[in-house]
Amino acid sequence: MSYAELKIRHILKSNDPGAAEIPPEREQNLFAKILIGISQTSMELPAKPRAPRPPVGSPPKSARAMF
Amino acid sequence: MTQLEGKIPTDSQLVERAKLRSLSAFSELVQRHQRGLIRLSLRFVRDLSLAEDIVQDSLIKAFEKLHTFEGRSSFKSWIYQITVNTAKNKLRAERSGQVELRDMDFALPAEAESALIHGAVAGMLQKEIALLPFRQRTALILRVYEDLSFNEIAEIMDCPYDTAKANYRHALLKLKTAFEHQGDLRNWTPQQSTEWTLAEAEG
Repeated sequence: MSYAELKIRHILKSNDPGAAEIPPEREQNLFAKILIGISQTSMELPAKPRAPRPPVGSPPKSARAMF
Repeated sequence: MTQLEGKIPTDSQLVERAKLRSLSAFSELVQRHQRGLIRLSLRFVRDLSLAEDIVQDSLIKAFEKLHTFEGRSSFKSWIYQITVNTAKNKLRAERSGQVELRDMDFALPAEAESALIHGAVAGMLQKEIALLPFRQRTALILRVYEDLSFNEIAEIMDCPYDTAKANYRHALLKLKTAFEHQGDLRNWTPQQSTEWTLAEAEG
């Protein structure tokens, strides 16, 4: 890596947009919003599995009842 | 294993519990990773509200898709991958909509601007970063700011190791070319004593 590239890395690191201070109340609000989001997701129950289909060629239920 | 390690569940243990729809396990994962994800998102969008939206969408998406997580990578890599993809989609939507990314550089709060060291050079660099193709930008952000290895970057970017490394190299070379034309970089010297050493060159 050249000297110029090292300089670039250094400038970027010393001016990191991600190093900005995040107010604690913003973090708490976000945490609450995420919890609400996942609670709603978890309340959506998975679809009830369908009853297995009868084997091909077997008579319909009503017909079986006749015998 | 120390007594403390025995009491604190690992990410993998929490994931297993969260897969059984344990909200407390997933909320613990959120608490562990939320701040890191906000910082990661800020590096892409430079706007706190937008970064929060990205993190919220990403973590809810992660909860919905948790059953697909097989544990071949770490949970952190997986959630970073989701966040990077969400950031990409948000940026695309912003570009096609109302806000141009380059305008957002000027929308930084005054206190953030004043906190910048060597603001002019850094500002120009940030604009150049915003112009990079998304994959190059991602590799650069993950390498420079997150200090991740190329193996981890490849996992997050879902690409081979060499591709991750090439994307990072291309990004750095583009920034270098842009600033060699301007002369700003040649005149710039570090003001602080830092960990900035030649060892970084080997990384």
